Amino acid sequence: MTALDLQALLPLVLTTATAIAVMIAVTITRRHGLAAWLCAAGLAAAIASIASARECAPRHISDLLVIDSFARFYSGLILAGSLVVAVLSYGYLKLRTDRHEEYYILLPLAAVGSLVIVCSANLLAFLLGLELLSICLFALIAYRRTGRGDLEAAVKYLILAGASSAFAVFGAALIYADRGSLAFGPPGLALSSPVALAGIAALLVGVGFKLALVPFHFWTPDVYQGAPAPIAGFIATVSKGAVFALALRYLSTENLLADGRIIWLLTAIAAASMLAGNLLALRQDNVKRMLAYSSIAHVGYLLIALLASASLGRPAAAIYLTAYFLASLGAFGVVGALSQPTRDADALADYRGLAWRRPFLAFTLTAMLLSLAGLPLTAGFVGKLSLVFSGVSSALWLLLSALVLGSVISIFYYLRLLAALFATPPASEPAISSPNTPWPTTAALLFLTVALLAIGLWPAPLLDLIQKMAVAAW
Amino acid sequence: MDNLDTIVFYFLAALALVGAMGILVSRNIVRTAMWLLATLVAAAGLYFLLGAAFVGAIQLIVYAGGTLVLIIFGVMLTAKNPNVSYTPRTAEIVLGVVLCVLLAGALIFVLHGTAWPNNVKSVEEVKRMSQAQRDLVGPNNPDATESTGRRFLGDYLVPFEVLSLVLLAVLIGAAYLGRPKVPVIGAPRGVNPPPGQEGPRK
Amino acid sequence: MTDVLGIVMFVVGGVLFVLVSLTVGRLFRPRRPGQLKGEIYECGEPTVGKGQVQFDLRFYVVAMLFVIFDVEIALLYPWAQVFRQFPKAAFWDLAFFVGLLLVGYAFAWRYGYLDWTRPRAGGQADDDAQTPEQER
Repeated sequence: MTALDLQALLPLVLTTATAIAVMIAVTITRRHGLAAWLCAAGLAAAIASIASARECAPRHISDLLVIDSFARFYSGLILAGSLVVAVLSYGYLKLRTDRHEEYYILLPLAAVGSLVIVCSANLLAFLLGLELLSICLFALIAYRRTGRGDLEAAVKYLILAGASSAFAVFGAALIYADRGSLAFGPPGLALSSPVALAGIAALLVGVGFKLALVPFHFWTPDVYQGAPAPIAGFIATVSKGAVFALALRYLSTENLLADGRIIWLLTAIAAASMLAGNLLALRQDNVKRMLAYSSIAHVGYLLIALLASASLGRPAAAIYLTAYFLASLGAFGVVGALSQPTRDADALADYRGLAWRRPFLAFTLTAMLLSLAGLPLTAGFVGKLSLVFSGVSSALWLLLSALVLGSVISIFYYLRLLAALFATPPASEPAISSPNTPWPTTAALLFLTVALLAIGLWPAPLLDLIQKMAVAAW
Repeated sequence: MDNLDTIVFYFLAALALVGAMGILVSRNIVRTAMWLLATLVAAAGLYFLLGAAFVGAIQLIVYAGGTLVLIIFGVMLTAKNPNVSYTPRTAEIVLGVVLCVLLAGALIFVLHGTAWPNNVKSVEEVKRMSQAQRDLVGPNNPDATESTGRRFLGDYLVPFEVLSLVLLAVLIGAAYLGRPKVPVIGAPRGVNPPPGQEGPRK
Repeated sequence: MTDVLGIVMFVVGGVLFVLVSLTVGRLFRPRRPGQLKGEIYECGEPTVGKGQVQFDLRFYVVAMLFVIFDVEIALLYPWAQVFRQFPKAAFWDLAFFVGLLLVGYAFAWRYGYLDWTRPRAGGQADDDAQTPEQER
């Protein structure tokens, strides 16, 4: 452990320090505002530390963690996502629950887990990060402790996350049995041995669960529905983004795509996720469940970047994930801002005529939905375009046709919600009178909308950054 | 003495399997917990047999001693009737059995078809090795615990500290979720549970 | 391997000790079962109600704390073995590890998770009477 190691680990250290600082501060004096702002400031400092450390070369911390520009890019994305979630949570929690302080300890700890996943160069570090993330999420999902839905969601997540972790650990054990090391191995080694291949299949269960890919997606709608809206956003973005970054690194470090069977398996999973996610979303009247199913489809799209050639696939994944982060966090942020103290605004009826009652929220949600649908002028369009380019360059025709089909289907249900937003308001009193939006929530939503449109209109700076950071070889 | 090892191994493996089958078959959750004890202790025995004394001790202390107590505790805390049993539907049983047989078949096929390298070192061989070599040898390493400790302070420092974060997350999450529901003074309507449903009382 | 032989002898000896002493006792003791002997013995008190009641949920937090510190103690063992080899590094390593949980413990204490208040008359628990709930 040298000073340089510590410097490379600074984002991780600062995020940990955030959790500890919040804990000490609220032990001394209990204030919701103090906890929230300390948490936000700590996460912002961690983001700043990434920006300042951009010149560092890839750095290995023993054989467990590697801090390279790829890890730094995704760490930044994760920390920014967590920061937005923390800010959105302030307004959300203020109206709900009697204790807020634990939330701001668990949230940075979940971010630490995600950072460990992103930086891991070893299955041991991956599993450790996965556990930390999962454990924090169990408590965060059930944080309101009011309705049956929350507890049901948390128990479902607990049991299924436990089972999928068991598979992942068993997979790691098989890989260890094969080669005597848990480090991400030299390319091609895994494919020669059936034991390692079985291990990778078991690992896929753990990864597929966290990404909510199709055979492992059953928890998604219930958990999104039961979880507090900002936490649903966190699960959709930070948790998935971290595991996806790890999958990207693992697949290319081990060069698993040299094997036709793995390509076929991933292709089938991706196509099934795109189609099943979009088709199931069509039938939903519950907005949170609809966003849950659409998130399944979005990760399916992302797998195209995983299967495409590295030179185009990696930047495409980074662009698409950035756009997806912005749009999902924004959508869940609006859901949270509209929510009653007793229940989240998840019924389609809650959104009828929103444009006339709450123009700002309606405009924000419109931008987010258009981006999720991948329509021009939004970041989602840039993301989808680069995904298509990467797919075309690697001739993934099956997946591309699934992508096109899925996108067409998705436009139906996004438009359905949009139509509700702009419908004439019912003559009678609106079904719910949503509380005023606190200014931090407004600021966060404004930031997300501006970023979304800025990237959609002028993507060059983001593309430059991604070319510099998310592509570099490791 | 190779024979004794083999006998002990098969005994422990049989105990673990019988325990696992018992977990599946018994419908009473307290009995399930007792069968789980058999499996956990057998696993601990297997660790000792492999020379991984530290892992074996952890298995006994944490799993057989802690987790299992927690399961029994959970029964005492939650169910109105601790002998609650549930009956799965036939379709569920069939699906479960089919999946398990497929999984077990695939694993047996893979594990059986692999030529495992025979590089297990005897105790005498390990004793002749240098420290660095010893650290790499898991089984039969007389000071495996010591090399674990050395790694906690060296290469595995970061995971060791992250582990304390995991424990912290468990502490806070469990304490938060486990606290009795209390009425909130001045909270909006609906946050407080309706009267009479605040949670279990003694 | 002599290690295994030792363990096996220890386990077999333990099992035999129980079996043999019970069997020997059974051979010599008089056997006179009666209704009084079949009753529940509760330190001389007459028993009330069923034995299988639902316990108070507050035991759960204590049980969780037990498991957490159980794991922590288990992890201290290998650390203690090498403490003398690197006293300085080992000290700071553990200072963080234990200090973190200590702060967590202080947090749980302060927030009343460890409070053991008695239920008020009428069955309402006054959980937050002593906790800083009203400070805001």
